[in-house]
Amino acid sequence: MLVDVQVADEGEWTIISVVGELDLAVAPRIRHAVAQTLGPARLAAGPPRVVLDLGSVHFIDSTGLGIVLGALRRVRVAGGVLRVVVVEPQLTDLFTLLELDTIFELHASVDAATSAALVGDSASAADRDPRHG
Amino acid sequence: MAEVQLEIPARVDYLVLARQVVAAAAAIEPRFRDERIDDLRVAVSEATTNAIEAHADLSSDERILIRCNLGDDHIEVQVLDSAGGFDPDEVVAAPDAEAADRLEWERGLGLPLMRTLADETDIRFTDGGTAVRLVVYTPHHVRSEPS
Repeated sequence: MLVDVQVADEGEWTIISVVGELDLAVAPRIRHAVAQTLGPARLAAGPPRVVLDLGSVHFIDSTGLGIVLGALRRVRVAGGVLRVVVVEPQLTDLFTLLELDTIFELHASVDAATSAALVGDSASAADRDPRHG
Repeated sequence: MAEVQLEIPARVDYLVLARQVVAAAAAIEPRFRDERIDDLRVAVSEATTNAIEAHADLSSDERILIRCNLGDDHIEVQVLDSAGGFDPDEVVAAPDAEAADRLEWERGLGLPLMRTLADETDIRFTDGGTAVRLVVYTPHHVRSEPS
């Protein structure tokens, strides 16, 4: 099973891209990527703006969802913003089922995530992509 | 009733295999919609993850047995481990989404997910371990009501 986690800078945003299935096996790699994103060098540039791109993730379970929650907490503690890209209906359904869609800003693409207005970023999901509205 | 069994080491590398085998077994029955197979994959992932973590806590590398029974109108999956067992009633559930401390909880979603996604979920102690039973019915199954 191909699993890949990549971190890349795109303007003022850091994109953490995950490919594969997000479960206990992949959890340490996501945590490492988030820690890398919140390292001193990156924080020196200002509050982190992070997109967790799960657009190529086709399975997630509660461990994976917990990792995403942890990432949001760590980014908010650092005073930053985290947005999540989900495409697969299975993922969207689980976020909705657990009411996590009220916590996260869910977007349909990285472009949509990085171009959405920043007003109220860390407090609500009000400006999330209409597709997930 | 056809039965499929898979025995895996209690290691995280085998989690994907457990999901794949159960999903493939369920797909043999054409009346299962893809969405229900997805539900079952998540529920099995939760049960198997719990078993793997329980073995890791004991520094034990014993095996986990996953048994699928394919009935006329349902699939029943049992996930059996020998990691000492736990009481599901003592597991503290994560707070509601709107709770102020919700982000402090990265765990506590597995049992509610299993119970929501499977039509029946039963968790019990066995000799030195835990047995999780998950059942998903075909769309036209009519459940008998308790009298």
